[in-house]
Parts: sequence; C-alpha cells; structure tokens
Amino acid sequence: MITTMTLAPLVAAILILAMPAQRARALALIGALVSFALTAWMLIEFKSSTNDFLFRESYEWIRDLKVHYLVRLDGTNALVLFLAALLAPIVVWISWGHSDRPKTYFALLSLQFTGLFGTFTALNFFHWFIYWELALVPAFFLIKLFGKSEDRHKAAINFFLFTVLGSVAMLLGFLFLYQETGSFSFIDLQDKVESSEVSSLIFVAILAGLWVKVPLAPLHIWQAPAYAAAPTPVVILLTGVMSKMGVYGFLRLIVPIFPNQLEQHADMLLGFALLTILWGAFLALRQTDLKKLLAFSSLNHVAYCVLGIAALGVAAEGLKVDAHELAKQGVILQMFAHGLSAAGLFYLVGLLEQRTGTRDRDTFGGLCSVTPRFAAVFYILTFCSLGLPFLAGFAAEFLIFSGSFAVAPKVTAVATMGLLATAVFLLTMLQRVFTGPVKEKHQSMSDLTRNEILILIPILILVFWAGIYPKTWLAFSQLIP
Amino acid sequence: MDLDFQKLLLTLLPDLVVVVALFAALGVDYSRLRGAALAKRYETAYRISALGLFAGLVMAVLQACGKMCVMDAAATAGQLKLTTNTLTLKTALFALALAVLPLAKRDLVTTHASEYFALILLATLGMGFVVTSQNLLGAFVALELVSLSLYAMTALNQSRAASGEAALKYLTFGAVSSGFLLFGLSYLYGATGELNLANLPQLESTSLLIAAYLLIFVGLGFKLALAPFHLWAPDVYQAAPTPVAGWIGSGSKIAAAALLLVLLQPVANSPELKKALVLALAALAVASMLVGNLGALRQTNLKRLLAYSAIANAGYLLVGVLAFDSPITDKANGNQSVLFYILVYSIASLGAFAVISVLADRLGRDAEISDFNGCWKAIPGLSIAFMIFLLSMAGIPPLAGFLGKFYLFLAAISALPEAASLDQGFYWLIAFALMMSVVSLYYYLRVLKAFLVVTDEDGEAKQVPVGIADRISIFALAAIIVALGLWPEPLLGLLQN
Repeated sequence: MITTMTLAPLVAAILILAMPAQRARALALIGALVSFALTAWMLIEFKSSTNDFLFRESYEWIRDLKVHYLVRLDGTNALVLFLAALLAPIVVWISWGHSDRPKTYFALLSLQFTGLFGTFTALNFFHWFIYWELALVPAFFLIKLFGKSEDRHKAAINFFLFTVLGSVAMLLGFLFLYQETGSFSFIDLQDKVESSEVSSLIFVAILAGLWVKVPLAPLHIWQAPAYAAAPTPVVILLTGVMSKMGVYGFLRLIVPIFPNQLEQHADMLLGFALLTILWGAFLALRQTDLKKLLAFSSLNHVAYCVLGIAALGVAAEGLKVDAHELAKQGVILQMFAHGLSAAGLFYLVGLLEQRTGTRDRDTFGGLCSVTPRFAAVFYILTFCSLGLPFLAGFAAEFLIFSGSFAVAPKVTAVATMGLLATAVFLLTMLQRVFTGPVKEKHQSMSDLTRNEILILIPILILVFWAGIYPKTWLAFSQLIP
Repeated sequence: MDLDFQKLLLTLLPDLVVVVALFAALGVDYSRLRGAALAKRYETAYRISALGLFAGLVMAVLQACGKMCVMDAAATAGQLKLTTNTLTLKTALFALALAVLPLAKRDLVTTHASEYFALILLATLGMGFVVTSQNLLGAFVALELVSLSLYAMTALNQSRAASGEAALKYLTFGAVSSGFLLFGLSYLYGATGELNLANLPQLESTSLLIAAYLLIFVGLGFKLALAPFHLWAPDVYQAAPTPVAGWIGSGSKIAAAALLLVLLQPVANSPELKKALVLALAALAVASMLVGNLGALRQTNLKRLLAYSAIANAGYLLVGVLAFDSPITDKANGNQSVLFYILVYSIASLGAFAVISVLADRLGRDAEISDFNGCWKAIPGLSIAFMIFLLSMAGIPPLAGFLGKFYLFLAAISALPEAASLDQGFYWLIAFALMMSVVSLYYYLRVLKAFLVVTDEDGEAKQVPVGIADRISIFALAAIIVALGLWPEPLLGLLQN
C-alpha cells in the first residue's frame, strides 16, 4: 500500500513522458490524487486501529549488503506524509495553466512527489537515500528551467551544491555506521550505536546533511535565493515539504539512533537553533521582497522545530511535566502547521505577483478594500504563522516552548524574543500591503477567483482544525515511543 | 605432467568455436567475396563472427552453470582457473563483444572488413584468457593479445590521419607499459620462483617485491588508464572508430581490473608489503580521480569527455581495489565490489559509445557535445538509453552505477582496520572520492542537457536509421543497467570467489 502510494507519481511521470503533452497535467494530477487518497485512507485506518504498525512492508532485497526493503507508517511520519500528499495535488492544480514545456514540468513534479513520499516512509538507509536524492534532483531542474528571475541559474546551482555536499557527508556517515554496526536499517540501528569518538564523527556527518536541508544557520544561505527564484508551485513544495525533510531526518535518525550523542551536543544544537531563529527574524525584518521575507520567516519557523528537538537531548528528570513528550509533539505539529501556512502564504504572494507584477512590500497599500477575500485569507494564514490562539501555529509553538522551557529556560526565553520579532515583521507586512491608502495602479486588482478559493479551503480548514482541536493530529505523534 | 587433451579440448571449446569463426570470416572474405561490395563483405563477416561468438557464449554459459565439462586448475597444470567467478567474467566479456559487433558493421571505416571483425574476436579471446588464467606468463601473453588487437583496430580508419597518430601513440605507450608489466612479473618470478599464481608462497616485504609490484602497477595502470599513465586515452578514444573505442573502454578494462586483483591476492597475507603497496594504490586513485574529473570539465568533444570520465572511474575503482584483502564476511567484499563495479561501468560505457556510434558516425567528423542538441525530439528512445548510461556512470540511483559505487566505497570502508583509530585508514580517500563524484555530475549533466533540454532547429535531420541489431544491443545494455540497479543479487552472487 505504502509502496503503491509512493510509486503512483513515478508511474504518472513515466506516462507523461510517453503520452502527448496535453495529457501531462491530467496524468500528474491523477498520480498525486491517487497518492493522496491512499494516504488519507491509510491514516484513517491507522487511527482507528490498535496496531501501531498497521501498514508495513518488508522484503529481502540485496542480501549481500543486508539491504532490506522496509517501509512503514508510524507516529513519526504520519503527519508529514499527510502534509506531502495533501500539497501534491494542490501543487499540480496550481500549475494547471502551465504551458511552458509541460511534459518536462509535470514529469519533474511527479518525480519529486515520489522522492518526498519515499523519504518519509523508507526505513532502510539504502532506499531512503535514493528517495532523498530523488527529491533533490527534480527541484534543481524545476528552479533552473522554470524559475522566473534572472539569477535562477545561480540560485539553483547553490541550492544543489549545498544539499549535495550535505548528502555526501551523510552518505559517508552511514557507510561508517554500517562498518560499525553491520546494518542499514533505521530500526536495527536504534540500540547499536555506542558512544565513542567514531560515533560522534558519524553523528556530525549525518547532522551536516540535515543541517543544510532544514536549514540551520549558517548553512541557510542557499535558501532565500532559491525560494525567490523558484516558480510558486515549486516554492510551495520547497517550503511546505522539503524543509520538513530535514526536521523529519532529525526525528527519524538523530533522536532514536544517536540519543547519547544528541545529549552531548544538545547545547550546541540549542545554540544554533536559537541563532537561526534570531537570525531569520532579523533578516526578515530588513527584507521588503515578500518572497524572501517569507523565506526568512520559514527559516525562523522551522528552527523552532530544531529547538524542540534539541530539547529532547537535555535530560528531563525530576520535572513535573513530561517535557520531552511535549517538545516532540510540538515539533511534529509545528511541521504540519508551518507546512500549511507557508504553502498558503507563498501561494498568495505568487498570486499577488502574478496580478501586479511585483512583490516588493512597499509598493502596495490598502489592498484590504480592493480585494477583501484575498486579504482575509492572507490575514488568517499570517496569524497562524504568528501563533495566534485557535490557529495551528499557536498549538504547535505552545507545545514546543512548554517542552523546551522546562529543560532549557534561558534559551527558550531568548527564543521567545524571536516570536516578538516575527510578530513585528509579519504585522509590518500586513500593514504595508493591506492598509493605508490604495495605490492607483492596484485599484483594479481582482479578488480571489472561485478556483483559487477552492485551493485555499483545505488549507484553511486544516489550519483551524489543528488549532482548535489538535488532538486529532496529536494522536499520531503520541504513538512515537 | 600428463594433460588430458580430450578434456582440454572440451574445456576450451567456447574459445575454439570463436577461433573457428574468426578464420571462417577471414577465409570467406578472402576467397568467395573477393571483389564484392564492401557492405556485403561487412555483412558476411559480421554474421559469421556473431554466430561464432554466440555459440561460444552459449557454451561459456553452460560451463559457468556447470552443465558442461570444465577442468579444474590442477588438471590444466595450473594454467587455467575456471571457477564460477572467472567464467562469469568471461561470459560477460563474450556477451559485451556480441553487442560491439553490430556497431562495427554500421560504419564502413576500412576496406579490411573481415580483419576488423577478426580483431574484435581476437581481443575478446584474449580478454577471456586474461580473466581465466592462473599463470603469470599465460596472463601476460593473453593481455598482449588484447593489446595488440586493440592497437591494430585503432589504426583501422586509414582515411583519418588522427587515427594513425592515436594508434602510434597507443602502441608506443602500450609497448613500454607492457615492458614494465613483464619486468614486474619477472621480478615476482625471480623472488618466488613460481609462475603459478595459486602456488605463490607467502611474500615478504623486500624491496625487490615492492619494485615488482610498482612495475606491475605501471603496466596495468596504463591498461586501466590510471593517471599519470592516462595520456593515450583521450586521443585514442577520440580517434579510434567508435565501436573500437567502446571496446577499449569496456572489455579491456574488465580484463585489466581482474588481472590486477588476481596479482594482488598473494599480498593479502603479508601486512608489511601490503602497507607499502596500498599507499601507491591510493596515490594512483587520487591522481586519477583528480585528472579525470577536472579534465572532463572542459571537454567539448563527447568521446574525449568519456575518456576523462573513464580515467576518473578507474580512480574510483582503485578505491575498491584497496580492499582487495578483505575477508569474505557478511559485510562488503572488496574483490566482489570491484568486479561488480567494473562490469557495470563497462556496460554503461559501451552503451554510451554505442549510442554515439549510431548518432555520430554519419557526421564524418568528431562529435562535439553540441552536435547532439535536441536529440530528444528526433530519437527519444536512444536519448533515454543514453541518459540511463550516463546517469549510471555518474552514480545516480537507482541505476546500477549507484549501487556499484555504493558497494565499492562500502567495501573500502569495511576493509579498513577497526575504525577505532581515525588517523589510520583511508577515510579521507573515500570522502575525496565522494566529493569528486559530485564534481562529475556537472559534466554528465552538461551532456544530458544537450541531449534532452536544448532544442535544435534541424531536429528532423537527426533522424538516423538504426538497425535492428543495434537497437537490440543498446536496449539490452540499458535494461541490464536498470535491472542490476534494482536487483543486483544474482550477479553479486556469481562474482563471489
């Protein structure tokens, strides 16, 4: 079932290449919808079942290398997989009018879906790594071939080099891990890593790969140019799902496999998470290009996840609250919440750019009265991002902070300053774009069409759902041992 | 010692069939087809050689499966070592040669039709003997048979001056390196008094033996196109007829790599000697990866680019060779990984040359990368096959090249002494190899960009007639690359010694 779900877009990609160009978008949509339907069905079944590993597939693959094909749905990946599967058809739908080399475009998108789904479900390093790379290559081409801005080539190359170098470090780390333990399976590895000098180096190598992918400062410099250069549907994938690959990597690899090393390096990780939160907020404060502003806002929000993960490494004995449990659930919910709000916001900024030809914050004004529906959705998603109660972002950030505050009060206290800065730059953005006098040239800007509202509705519903009644979604992350 | 000649005849039947086909092709060409049209002569020679090679292949497969009589090493007076492992390599070589033959008849580069095919068969025979030989001299003679055939083939295209020049370069470099190799082997013989590789005693770390092995590395380094013995490769790849370049880049590499592994086996029991040699191998590996990858970056000629990529790949290969003494355990095994890698690489390389041969030989000049602009529109099937070959060479999953590289590096790591001490071992080498693989992506993608992305106005002109045999061989090679990437177990099992 999981394999079918993962490979459906791949089959679509192959068919797209084989069939005439007019069929491309329909095939991509079908592939993505099949994946989404299967994921939704699996999640419902999984939730009502008492079996923690209801969906699990396991086959012998390459015996000489002890490579075992293992995929499963569990507490760690359920929500991110759902997020990815939800955004996939949305992304195809947004690209519906895409007319430039449609075969290449939709085939690359579909390939990327397969890479993302595979990364979230695979539990053996060998095929997990294949998917991890598969998710990268199409993104590179999508930015390079279909990006809008002049510097897209440079942005794509930077993005590619950074992530590939990270991957190389990670591959090296796993090869050594195999030498140490004789296993590639994430499950088997869980209690095989001892604390030694070598394990620490392996830990650092794997950390490097994730560091770039999240990204954490100072390895984030590829991010903003790549987001700014990529076409809107691709940014939605980049920020909504790909940045979650890194966080998910932390949860899948670092937390269960390297608990001792995480404990040793927790302070360092806390420090860099904090640095990224503040740095991201600071960069966003000075930015007027809306896409870049949102990119830095993403940087800042995803770093909260890492803060929560670092908190898992700090001992929590003798506390009245189960800080680790809170932090872990917060991290997973934050991935979900940020994925939704960032995807929605980037979509809206894309629409804005499409209608006005610019995305400079300061050229707008008073759009509230011109396009009320657009403004309403924009406000809701921004407030979700800000962490307004009853919206998804609040529940998630609240959990993370209450978890990390218990174990690392000082760092958390400083990190909440980041929240303040977030509020400042997001509210400034709202103020500049939507309030004040209307600019002449934007008088005739059209409001959201029915189609666009249709795309945004599922995102809005989930944002409210996860904010008002997060229990539905936390039920999955509670399954993590 | 008495040899059982009847049994020997049966054991060598696959080779004998090929020899018969070779002479038949020559004989028919010289007698009945004297004065016939060139195309007809090519066609006849091709048919006879393909038939003979196919029969030889079938018998070799039967032998590898144990369905046909095979003598063990002792019965051949220590000359031949016919195990599943070596017979698999021989079978693979015959099969690859069978893929070369249809390409050779596409372009009528020379009037010596039957000699062309006879030389391909001779080279194949030689390679078969290199991988199955257990005797120092036997292996050397077989390797010379390969080399001489390849020198002659490089010069076949007499209408091109560059072809002759490249062949002369190849011959002079090659002859000198053969001298080095023979010199090294004679030292080895002098130190041990033994020609049979299975009987070599435990080697001690004497300067004589170190010199012997260094000389052997020079000799085989030339055949494998390792830097700094690579200077011939770009010229030869560029100027030789494309099928010949393909065969130089695949078959001869398999033979040389297998021989290198066999020659290194006796060293495994002598830690002192090993320590000295491993350094030399590591230096060669670094040099090759550096020269190959950096050299390839600025090539505009596709065949030259492939030559540099071959140099780089030989460098990766040596990283695995460093693990030649790893015991057969549950973890990765050095020899197995090297053989797997070189086979996969050869298949991909031959495939790439096959596509070039189909597309470029009608140009009548050297193929630049830009000549392939927009091929995707005109010939989507071949473009996809080419993409598979190139991505496999670059090591992109899930193709066989990725698995080969993965396994190779894994073996190199597993072979190191317990990883407790980080200052020992070749961690840096593996890290370097991985970085270089990233660099290599750049030039592979540049070629693929021309094929798949760049559009070209005269797209229709690129329509080329592709013969059915070419089509089958190219698609078979591509299918093998994909299949081995997903399901390598059978081949890995066969290559276990």
